[in-house]
Formats: sequence, C-alpha cells, structure tokens
Amino acid sequence: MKNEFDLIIMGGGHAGLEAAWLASSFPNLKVALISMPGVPIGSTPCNPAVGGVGKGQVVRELDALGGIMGKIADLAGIQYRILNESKGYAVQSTRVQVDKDLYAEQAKRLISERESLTHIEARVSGVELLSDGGFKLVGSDEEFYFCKKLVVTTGTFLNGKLHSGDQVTAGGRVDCLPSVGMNDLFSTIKTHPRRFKTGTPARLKKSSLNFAACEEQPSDDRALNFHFAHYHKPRSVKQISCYLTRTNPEMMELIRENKERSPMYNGQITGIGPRYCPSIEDKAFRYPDRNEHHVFLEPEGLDSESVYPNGLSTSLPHDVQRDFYSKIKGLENCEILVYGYAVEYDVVDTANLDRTLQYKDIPGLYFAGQVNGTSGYEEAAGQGLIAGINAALSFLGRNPLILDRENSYIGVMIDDLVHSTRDEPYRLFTARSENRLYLREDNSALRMKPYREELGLSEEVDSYLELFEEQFHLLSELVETYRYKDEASFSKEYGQYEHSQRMDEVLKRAHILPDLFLEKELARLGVEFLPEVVRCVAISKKYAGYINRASNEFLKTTKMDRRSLDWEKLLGCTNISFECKQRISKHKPETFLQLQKIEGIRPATLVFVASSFLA
Amino acid sequence: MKFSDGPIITCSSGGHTKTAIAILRLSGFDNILDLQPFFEISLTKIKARYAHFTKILGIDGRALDEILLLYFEGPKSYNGENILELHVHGNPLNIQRIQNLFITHAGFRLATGGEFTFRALKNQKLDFSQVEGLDLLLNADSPLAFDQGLDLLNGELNQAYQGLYEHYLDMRTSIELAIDFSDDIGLEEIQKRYLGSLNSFLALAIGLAKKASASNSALLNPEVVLFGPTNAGKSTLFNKLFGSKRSIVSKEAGTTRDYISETIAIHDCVFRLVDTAGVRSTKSEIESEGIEASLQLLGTSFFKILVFNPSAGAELFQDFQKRGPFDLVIFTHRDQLEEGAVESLVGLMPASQPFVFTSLLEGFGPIEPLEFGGPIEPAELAGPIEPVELLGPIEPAELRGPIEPLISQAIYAKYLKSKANLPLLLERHRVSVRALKAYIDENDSALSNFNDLAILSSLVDGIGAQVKDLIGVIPAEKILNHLFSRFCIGK
Repeated sequence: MKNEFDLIIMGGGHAGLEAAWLASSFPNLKVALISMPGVPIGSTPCNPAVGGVGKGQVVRELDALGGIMGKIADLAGIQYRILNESKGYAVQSTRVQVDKDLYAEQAKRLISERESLTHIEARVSGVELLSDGGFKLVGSDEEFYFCKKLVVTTGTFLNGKLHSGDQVTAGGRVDCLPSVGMNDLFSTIKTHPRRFKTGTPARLKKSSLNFAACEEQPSDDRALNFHFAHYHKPRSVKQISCYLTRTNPEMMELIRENKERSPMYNGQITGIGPRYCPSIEDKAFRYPDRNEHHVFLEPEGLDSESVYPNGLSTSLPHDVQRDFYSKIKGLENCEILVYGYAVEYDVVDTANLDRTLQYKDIPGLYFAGQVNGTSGYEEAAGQGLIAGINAALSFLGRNPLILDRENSYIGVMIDDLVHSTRDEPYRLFTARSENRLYLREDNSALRMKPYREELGLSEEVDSYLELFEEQFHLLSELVETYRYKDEASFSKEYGQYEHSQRMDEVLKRAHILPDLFLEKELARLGVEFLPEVVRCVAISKKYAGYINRASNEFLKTTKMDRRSLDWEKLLGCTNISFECKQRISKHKPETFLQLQKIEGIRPATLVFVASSFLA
Repeated sequence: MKFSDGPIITCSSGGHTKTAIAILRLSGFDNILDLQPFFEISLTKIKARYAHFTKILGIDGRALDEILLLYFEGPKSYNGENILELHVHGNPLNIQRIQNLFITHAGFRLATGGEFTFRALKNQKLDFSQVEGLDLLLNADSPLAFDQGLDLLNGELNQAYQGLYEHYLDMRTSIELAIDFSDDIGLEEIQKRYLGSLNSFLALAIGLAKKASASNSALLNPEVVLFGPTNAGKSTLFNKLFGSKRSIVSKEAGTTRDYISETIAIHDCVFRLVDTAGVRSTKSEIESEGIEASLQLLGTSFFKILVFNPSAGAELFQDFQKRGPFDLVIFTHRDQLEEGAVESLVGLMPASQPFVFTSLLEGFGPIEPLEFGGPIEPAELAGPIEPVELLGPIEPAELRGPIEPLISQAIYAKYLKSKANLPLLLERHRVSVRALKAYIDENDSALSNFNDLAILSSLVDGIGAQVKDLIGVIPAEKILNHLFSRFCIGK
C-alpha cells in the first residue's frame, strides 16, 4: 500500500530531518517524513545560526555519526566564527550564520535524493495505536498513514499559542497553520505539567539599517567547515558580515514603562521560558540597573532583506516594539518586517522516555526535539538522530545505540533529559558535562567512531573515521616515541633543550601552543598527516593529564574498582578499540582496578566499561 | 542503611517512661485531609505552623486523647515533607495506642532511627555536614560537642561551609559566564569576579584549615588525668575532686584499662577524671608495662596533672617531668618538706610551669595549698612568666583553702580557652578540610590563571570535589541555577 511505511517521522524541523536522514540510511527501510504544509523543511524560525559553545560540538558529533546538519550548514553558511578562541582549546566552538532560504532549500534537496525516504506534506490531526503495535496517522488531507515505528518531532506546534502584545493567535509559528494539542494526538501521553514558552525578536529590513554605526564582525576564514568532506574545501557560498550594536538607557526605560502591556509580565503568558534566553523585557525588569546589552544584527540570507536582531526577543505590542527598536543605534530608521512574538506549547515529560527516546509505555513511539522541552536546533537534531537511529534499529530487531555522557554532548543531553523533569527549556551547556576537556570539537571523529561502527553501515563517513583514527594512533605514537637527540634540530623558541626529551613532553610546555608546534615539527620532519588529525593529537596530548584526572574522579566517585569483570566478554564489545582488546586479552583483568592498571588502556575504554559494562 | 518511601510515624520525645507530654510526628503523607477520620477538629480549618487543641479519635469515633496538633506543610517543613506533630499525653500505653491507630488504619509505619533526617537530606533541606552536626548535637557528651553540633547545624561553622560552597559556585559561575556569556558581561569583569570569589574562598578555607589542625581529640571527651608515682597522693586528690564535683551524667562502663575513672562536672562541662595506675618509685620500673596504658592516656588527655611527693627526690621528679608537659604540677606533703626543697624543685621546672605546693591530709577536711606558685592559667605553657619569688609575699588568707576549686578553676579556664579556638571535632571534617587546603596549596598559582578556561574549570572542579566531600553532592544544575539567578544573559 502506498501509505504504509516502516517508519514515519512526524515533523520536518531539525529533529525530524536528522531522524529521517539516519533512519533512511539503513538499507531496505521504508521511511516517510510528514511535515506541515507551507512550512519549509529544516527552517530556522529563530536566529539563523548553527553551532555555538557546546552546540558546535554537537554538530560535529552529528556529522561524525552520519548526520545531515553540518553538511547543510556548510552549504548555506554565510558567516563563520570561532567562539572562545582565546579561552582554551576545549571550550572553543564553531558557529555559522546560515542563509535561511538556502538552508531549507538544501535540506529539501538532500532529502529528495534519498530513494527510500518519502516526503509528505500533511497536517496530522490524530494518531491511533493499532493492535499489532503499529500506528495509524490521520491526515487533514483525509488520508491515512500507517507505520510500525513513529518518531514525533513536532517542535513548538502542539497546541501552540502565539503572543504579540494582547494579540493571541493559535499556531506554532508566525504565519503557520496551528496544530492540535498533544493530548488530541495521544490521550495517554504524560505532558509536562506546565507549558513551555519561547520567543523571538522582530525581523528588520536590511536596507533600513545603518550598519555604518555598528561594529562589523566579518566571517572568520580560519574556522573549519562543519562537514568532514568539506574540511579542505572553500566555503560553499559568499561570506558576509554581522554587526554589533547595543541597547541604551532610554530604550530600556521605554520597555519598563510598558510593563503592563507585556504578556510576560501582565500574566497573559503562563508558560515557562528559558532563563538563558531572556527576552528584552526580562533584561529590563530583572536587571533594572543594567541598560547596555549586546545586540547582534544577523542577516538571514545573502539576498534576503531580513535581519535578525539577536538579543531583542520580545512579545510586547507592535507599537511598543516599533518605538523601542528605533531607539537603538543603527536602527533609528528601521522598518519591521515581522513583529516579535512569544509562543507557548505543549511538551512531553521526558522522564517517561528511555535512553533511545522511546516513550516507555508505548513501544515504537519516539519523541525528539523541542517537543521534549529542549531549545536549539542542535539539541533537536541530536535527539532526532538518536530517535531515528533507534527507531530503525528497533524495527530491524537490533540492539539499541546509546551514547554515553562520558563520550558525547548528545549523550549528556539524552542522559539529562530522561533522568529528570525540568522546569525550563533545556539547553546544552558545556557545564553539563563532567569532562569537557575531553568533549571537544577536534576529537569528535574519534569519540563517535565506536558508535558509528555499531550501526554497521558503510558510507563515506565510515571510511573517513577509519582514516582519522588510524592517523591519530600513528601520530600519537610518533610524538610519544620521537626524542630530540640533536640540539640543532631543537628550535630556540621551544625553550631549554633537554637531551633525549620526548616530543610530547616538549609539546606540553606551558608557553607552547601545541597545535602550531606539532604542525611545525611535522613539516620539519617532512611527515604529512591530515591537519585536523594533527590538531587533535596536539590538543589531546596537551590535555591528557587533566582528562585522566577527570576520568579518575568519575571512576573514584563510582567506586567500581573492586567490581569483578568478565574480560572475555569485553573482547566482544564493539565499543572497545582493537589495541585495548589486545592488551585486555594479554593481561586478562579480573577486576576493574586491574583493567585500569593495564598500561595503554584508553580513558574512553575505562569510562565505557565503568558506565555501560559494569552498570 | 536503606529507607523506603511512604508515610512514617515516630515518637520523637517520651515513650520510654511515663512523662506528661510525648511528641509524635507523622511524615510523608500526601494530603492531610486523608487523616480527617482521626481528629475531632476539621482539618480543612487548620493553619500550617499554628497550634490547635483537639481530640484524637479511634476508628469507632471515640476520643482517645486530648492533644495539641501542629501541621507543617511540605516543602516548608523540617524534612520537606508534610509533617503532622501531635503533642499527646506521655503514658507509653497511650503513645503505643495512637501509633497503632495510624499504623493499622492509615498506612503509616514506624520510622527507623534517623529516617526523618534522612528524608531531610534527600529533599535537600539539610546537607550532609548538617546531618553530622545534628548527630553530634544529639549524641554530645560535652557542651563543646553540643555547641559544635549546633554550630554545624545552623551556626558559624555551617555558614563557613555554606560560604565555601557559595564561593565555589561563584567561581564556577564566573567560568561558565566566561565560556558562554562573555559577550554579555565582558571578560575583564568576569575575571575580576572570579578572583574575588577565589580570594574569599581561600580565606575561608585557610581559616578552616587552622581549625582542622588544632588538636581536637582531647576536647571531644575531655579527660583530666592524675599522673605520678605511687603514694604521691593521687587517690586522695581523686576522691576529693570527685567528691566535690560528682556529675549527674554517668559514663557507660566498658573500659578495662589499668586506671579508675569517674565523671565530674565543672560548671557546664563534663570531664572524665582519671587516676592512672600507680607508678613505683624505682627508676627501673618507670618504663614497665604497667605504666604504658597511663602514659598513652596521658598523651591524649585534655588536662594533665602531675602529682608528686617532693620527698621522693629530684631525680625521680625529673623522670616524671619528662612525660609532660603538664598543665599543673601538685607537690604534696608540703608539711613534711625540708627547708630549701621548694626552691630546688621549682628550679627543675620550666619557668612557665604552673605548680602548687600542698598538704594532703588524708581523709580529713579540705586539702590546703600551703604555697602557690606561678599563675594558674594553664594550657599556655609557653611565654614569659614571673618567677615565684617575684610574686611577692603571699597572703595566707588567699593561699589557704580547699585545693579543689583551684584545680577545677584551672581546668575550666583551659576548657574555655580551647573552646574559643574551636577546633573541628569531627574527624571526617578535619580530613576533608586538610585535603582541601593541600589541594589549594598544590594548585596555588594555577587557580588564578585565566588563560585556559577548561583547565581552570577542571582545577576548580577539584575544589568542588573537596567541598562536595564536606557537605554533599553538587549537581551541574546547581551551578547553572546559580548563574541564572544572578545574571540576565543570553540572547
């Protein structure tokens, strides 16, 4: 039958895209993506940017797992930035401004190239649970759709309500059709006791802004593209600048005067908004003595007339918005294209999901993305990938794929989500990880390879990960064994020459920038490695001591040392590298402590054994 | 120890003997209105944290007792749960009857020891160190331990620990700000904030470390030890002191060592008075096995008194003196002393050694000090002190009198002084605080290095681990909450 699928993904946002992309990468699986008519696939309704601190790591994790976000972001990327460049390698992240229309266009193109994936535009008004464990979706087009596994990625649409001053309209997004509530779709799903709220600023007309009065922020051509196959290629499209301006006392005062007309402060909105994403009203009322806040003017596209004033999210009435926007430097004559608004929506109580994001009480039903009470495209995509992969694996009768919090930000997020009911939208911060020195952008290929291996797929990304890991080990061995025997070959800028000192010891010297050092030494030796591998090895060596300490702290707190261990079983685990397995079979450890004592066992292996194998 | 959830009941006061009032506490029930059948008063009308006089009813509706009822609605209660406190008449039969009523008919079970507090810990109403404080307070053998228990529960010590925690959170917050929100706040300002928090943290940690290095063992169960050769008059002195300061608190038996001990009370403090095994007056036997126990005891005791009969000779005196320092030296048999002996013995002691010459009239009347040398302000054995001669003529009226007030005054003075320094009493805290100090010293300069925030954060996490050891778990959510409650940041 034409409307019968193995898997349906309901919702075409970033979670849905990723879920559909991954699920359809399994051979012989019939997948459908149902999205709202009139809403572009992979649209960026809030600020048009991908990546950021912690989030850039997620995009690279996704990319190494075969995800789609990094690829599209590059194809539509118009301004790149390296955040936190001066604050240490582990907290650096990439952020890219995207052309909104181009992003959606590329998403649609890539999806359409997947033969096993069908894209359907329809509103779903109801879902029935079938006696065989499958699902029947009722479309507003009077069609029925059937599937065995269902991934729900409806974002802010469920029972969405928009607020702009005292205007309240139904809908998940401005100018979009409204959707029914969660409990109209599934009467038994436990939703979060309070609805969540998020907001967005007005969109301003580019030609009405005076960029000359603002600080220019050009694209950084040193930032590495997100998608591995783009690493050594130029940017896909032309690069443009963003601009920085600031709020001022006069304008903040105006907002304070209009407190009574703010839906957030007069009681009209009851949903809970994220504290890390405060509206300009929040900034005005919660911090009455601060009047200067950053505003980033971010173009929504190369040719688009629309500019996103980042930092000015608001749900004040239109006349107040007009007034306060025009009081900002550079915005004096601004024309508003779309007014800012807040949206309230239903969210699932994620404490009812398991680590594959399956709803515990209804096998085969998965939830991912903002409907789970998270914020951010990257968070949504990370969940979409996990839900999509696991829905597919479950359909195929295979073991689930679970990412550990010790190895990935995606794992941190899923772990946090399913272990608690939160009282505000969830955003990924690097602070949420216990070992952020290890969860870096540069080593995401290394961290993700074991998981990707579990999928048993062989795509371009798999051979890349293979190559990366091979080179990583090779180069690691080189820096651990190379010794300086000749003072002439030792550059003076490295400091005091010590005879027979190892390269990794020199690399760790306080004043040496490890990546530049290693690059230079390899050039001197005439050895060639992938530049991203050189960087990864350099940073890994630099941080090794700290990472081990953090891992040990984790191990100490779990007090697992004396736990007994079946070493033969370890040899059958796909999450453990070949080298580690060799060492394990040689030493035959019987307790976890013995395993730790084996030289050359990687921290990742210990953490994996501690968290998954012993638990 | 493993506790399960569900409503519990316990008798928190009374229950073992017949008392006027006993307090029963019920905790962890969902809705107070479910308990309506057991009370005469309409529970819809009661006001949280107000006392209500009512009757408790059996299932047949018959009044079982007249009671005072207090309702603490969770989470504003001791352990965060709904708590009902019933003041009932204290006959154990009555208590049992009421407990059985709730157990049989309302789904309660008897709480196990510490379960109320365990729930307070679980619901984050108390942190781990506060629970320890409560334990110290409830089981204290001395006012000092009691005071520190209270101090840990809600006093200065608790504030110091909370301060460590707050400053640690501030440091982490600053780092998170620098990583995620330096656009909003500005890196320089953040760094300034960080260093401010670090310095406050260090000041507190160093202060606590002093408390952790000061001796504590002698203070928890303070002992007053009488040491000296046989026939010096120790037993006489022991009986005199015990007779005049007998404590109403009696220690549990259980020691089988070679000494006898009794509990004495001086003002509000309880001490264990110990008479060590007699030591023969021959030099060869001074190291004999029999004395080892008393020497050991001497090492850990709070107040050490050397009792010595001058006629035993200067050589023996010097042997004993080596076991010091002593808080007080008492020379007995003053009346039998030859001319010049006082001076020769005094000359053998450090100038700062407090001592007293006395005559022990065994069994009869007060023990009178004949001569009193050195100011009796023991504890402080160092520092300049005026020689005996310079004390000038001693008024006989002041000198002559019972010796036990003199001794107890000296003991109490030392106690007050030690208490003022307030060393940490709990060994776990001492270990944690010292580990924290060692960690700080080890990473001294790195802790203020803002160049690599991930490394700095990892080092500060090390501090967090120590603070966590001290007061309990710190989840990441706490750090982020701390951050967002203080700053309006993000876009």
